[in-house]
Amino acid sequence: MKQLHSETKILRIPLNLAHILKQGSISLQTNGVEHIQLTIQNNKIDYNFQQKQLLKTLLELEAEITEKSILEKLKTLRNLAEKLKQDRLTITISHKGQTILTLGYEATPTVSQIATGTNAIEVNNMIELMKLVT
Amino acid sequence: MPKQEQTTEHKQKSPTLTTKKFSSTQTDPSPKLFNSPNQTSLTLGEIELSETFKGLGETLAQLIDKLAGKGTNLQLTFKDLTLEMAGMKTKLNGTITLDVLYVSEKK
Repeated sequence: MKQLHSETKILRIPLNLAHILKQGSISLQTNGVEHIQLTIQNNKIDYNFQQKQLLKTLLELEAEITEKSILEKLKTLRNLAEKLKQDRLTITISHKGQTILTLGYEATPTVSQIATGTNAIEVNNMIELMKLVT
Repeated sequence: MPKQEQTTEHKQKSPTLTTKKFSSTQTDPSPKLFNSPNQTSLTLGEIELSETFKGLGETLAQLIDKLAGKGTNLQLTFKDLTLEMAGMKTKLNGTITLDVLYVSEKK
């Protein structure tokens, strides 16, 4: 299928969703298999991926992101994370309930700040993150 | 989560949208909306919202293409989902099911 988005537009979707969604949950299933669950509470959205395939598919929608290394992928998220922090919003990426990445206001990075160049991205579990995106 | 009844349809040429037990309630309408009848142009926020939903729709279409195969359905379930747009709160509960079937076109 033809690529429909620019990279900026794709990354703007979670930011705008964070502004619109206030509370509750959304889940996406195909043939009864749950792929992702979004939980929204207190200016925080958790994207809990139940299957790795969906995140890979989302990354594949933007060819440029797929070609980059994991650190470059994280840098791509920098603008999104910093905008979230400005707006006191937080997005977490989880896999089967385990938090892997925190973006925005509640991010408290340590070593990963050197790699990403921002204090708005926290890598909670690098090993799981690598498994999820590679 | 209670199991929703599955809809099965066959030999359709295009994806169909089935909405089940879907309800929305609007609460807390902002008076600002009704106090500006002369407003004709879209605000920046409205444009961003419009772009968000357009982008979501396009992304969902691409996801359908990637994830769905023959006879696959996609189900979006909302549970006490509260949205706030233009000062107006909306609560969503329910399920949207997309039954996607691919049929090869005859030449």
